[in-house]
Amino acid sequence: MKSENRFDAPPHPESVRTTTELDRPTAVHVLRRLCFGAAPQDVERFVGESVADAVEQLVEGARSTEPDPAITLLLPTGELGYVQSWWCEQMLGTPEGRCAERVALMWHGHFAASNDKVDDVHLMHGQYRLWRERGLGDFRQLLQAALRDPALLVWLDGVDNVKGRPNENLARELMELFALGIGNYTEADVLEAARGLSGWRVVKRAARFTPSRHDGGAKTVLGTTGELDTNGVVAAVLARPACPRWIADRLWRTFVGRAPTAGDLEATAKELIAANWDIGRTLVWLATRPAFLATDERGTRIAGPIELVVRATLETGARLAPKELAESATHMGQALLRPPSVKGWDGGRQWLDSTAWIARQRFAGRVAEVLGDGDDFDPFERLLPEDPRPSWRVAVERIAQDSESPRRTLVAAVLASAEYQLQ
Amino acid sequence: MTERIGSFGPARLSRRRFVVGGLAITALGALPTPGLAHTSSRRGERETILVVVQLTGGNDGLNTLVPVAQDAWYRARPSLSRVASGAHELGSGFALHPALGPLAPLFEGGELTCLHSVGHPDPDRSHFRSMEVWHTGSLERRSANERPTGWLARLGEQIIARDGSAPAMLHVGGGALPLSLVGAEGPAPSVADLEQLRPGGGATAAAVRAALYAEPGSEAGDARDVAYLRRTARAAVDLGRRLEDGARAPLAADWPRHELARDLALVARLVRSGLGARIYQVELGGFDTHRGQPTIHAELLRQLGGALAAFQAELSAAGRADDVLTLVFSEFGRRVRENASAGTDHGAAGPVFVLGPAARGGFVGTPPDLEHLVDGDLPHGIDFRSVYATLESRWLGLDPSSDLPGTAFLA
Repeated sequence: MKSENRFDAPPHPESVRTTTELDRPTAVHVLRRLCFGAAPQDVERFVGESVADAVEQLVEGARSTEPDPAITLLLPTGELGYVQSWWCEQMLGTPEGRCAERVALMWHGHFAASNDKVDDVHLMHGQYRLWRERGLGDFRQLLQAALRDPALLVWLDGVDNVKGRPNENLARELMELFALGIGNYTEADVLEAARGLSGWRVVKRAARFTPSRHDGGAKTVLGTTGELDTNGVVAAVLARPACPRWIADRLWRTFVGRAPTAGDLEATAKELIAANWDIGRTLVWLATRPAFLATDERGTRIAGPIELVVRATLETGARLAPKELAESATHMGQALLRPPSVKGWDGGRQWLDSTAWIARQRFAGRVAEVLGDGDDFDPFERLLPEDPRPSWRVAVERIAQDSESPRRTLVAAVLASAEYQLQ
Repeated sequence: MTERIGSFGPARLSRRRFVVGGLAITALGALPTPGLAHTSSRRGERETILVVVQLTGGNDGLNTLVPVAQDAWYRARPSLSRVASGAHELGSGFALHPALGPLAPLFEGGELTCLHSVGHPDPDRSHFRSMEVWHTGSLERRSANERPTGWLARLGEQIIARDGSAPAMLHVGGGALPLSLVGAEGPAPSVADLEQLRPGGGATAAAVRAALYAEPGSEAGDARDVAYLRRTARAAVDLGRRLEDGARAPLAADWPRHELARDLALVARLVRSGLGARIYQVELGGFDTHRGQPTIHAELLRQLGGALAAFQAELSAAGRADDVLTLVFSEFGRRVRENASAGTDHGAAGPVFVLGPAARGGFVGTPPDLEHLVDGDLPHGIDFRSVYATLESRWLGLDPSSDLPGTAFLA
């Protein structure tokens, strides 16, 4: 199947695949991509359903889930570590809840703010709530809210953007990283947009608009002229055709695991508009495309540290404390709420530097170590359902036979394999 | 105080550093031609090493290298100037903070070089921005799409391209990898402790890894990343093994017990082990002393002085002191005037220290003049990029990242 040709098919195909009943490897694949992975009983729940029904249940069900309110007790400590652990715990919830968390993690990487600069776990958690509660909804509203998010205002110096002394940091990233991408705006647009975004402060952890600090004069942003404020600037950005394409690109990279072709990009952007910018509907559409489902599209994406530790925990049933998940992911190069830069995590091959690889191997050993005695399963069938007979299987089984605990040795080996790092 | 370094002018070559075919070039009459500077750092010969110590948070330079002879300093700092009483006189009107006692003998012996008022023409009071400037070695404001690369990582990539030796650079410490070590090819390895690079398990685990990451057969060389992942996994395991060997080298010096000392002790061990890395970075954080500075700053400087002195002693005992230069920097200095909370706020230029017998010793640059400030801050006298340029081209024998003139602080 040539990917370039996929959209030569009718634009809204009730494709054969969407009505196909899910077999186990396909269910595992869908659950890994949409909600980090699943315990065997969750997989069973979806086996036999049609692809369309399964995806619909996960994504639509995600909208009504809520994270654990216990976080409010942890925030006063000011400790980022608690928030990181708590978030990891949310990623181990129901399949629907996990789907909402997966989407929140995508937006966290997209609008990547770090506590290193924000330096306030309340604000970081507030921003997480935004991704979690509105991440599946209308992107236009999400973007408007993001530009008023206290953590983002601090992170990108929106609070220093004052009439007469514009700080263009937030305006630039709005165009470059959040909504359009480089080449789709000019320096003049950035400067004019900065004037429009001026006037925000963060007072008592809330964003407050102060008219005396706002530049209310006329400006022209991306061809729209007027006395634009935040509302107007964001509307001007959203009106550009590059915007839905930029968001479509993000969805492809996150859920399909590669950049879309020009045709795929166009089709996805069109779908986003048709869905009134609803991310959830667009995700349902995307997850029922051949590009998402086809067997040669599976296992092609290097899992990020958070995806990997959560998936391994879900799939093996290992009893690991959420704190251990967060810390392991940090060792592997993904500290939640502390992305390395405003651009987020590069992902892909960048995940695998030497220390990160060793951290993944150590984590594999740790998971095997805490496996309960009752958890007897075939690690190849369960953890590598697409290809339970990798080239190294015989050699590793031979070594495992002579080891203290053959089962733990095998589980550790599978989890540390190159194949398991992919999804 | 600065010089052109683009051409490796003969008169500026250091006596100590350039070794050609095992022969030290000591006489000015026997200077190598320009290209030869590069041969000095080839594998198998003596390799120059750069260790960068970052003081995170903005170190108060004026209470580190104290201008004890300037009235303006006492006037600006009625409470913080108490450090003058126990300070270690260096001459020329400057003294080291009382807690930096261990560094005084090094200054005396010419192994500590103090560079006055190092900064750049576009100071910014943001930690984030200032650190980015020092880490990238550039004042350019990049769009986030062209990902900035770290100056040390660029050097490391040059070394790997030339010598094929990895790891060329290493981050040591438990904190996040600094941007200085993030290159176009990805991040440098980062080691908090060697334990972290031990994949764990005994002989069984080692045998499993050997089987797991074996070169895939032709069939398995598929479109997926499997082959790439196996290759990098093998490299990681190999690095872990090499570092583990390095860790066994015993320590000779008397090391204090704190994190910076632990990190620098690991660097010393790895240098002694012959690991081959040419660039290391470690950090000491907590210098953002907006309030209650006297206690906090003294404690941090006590750690810094103790760790650096032990590090030099360790290298000397190993006979490697001549091969290593240590650069101590902070993202900015602090304001001249103390604030109302017995602290100091974000400022601009500050001193940089270079440790090692290969530096010339003493002071470099025009002493800060507290009567002439810019926005209440010390203006810079030496551009940090010219310090980098000297380290890059003259110390490491690599292409510098800027064409700025170097700074003459090497012996």
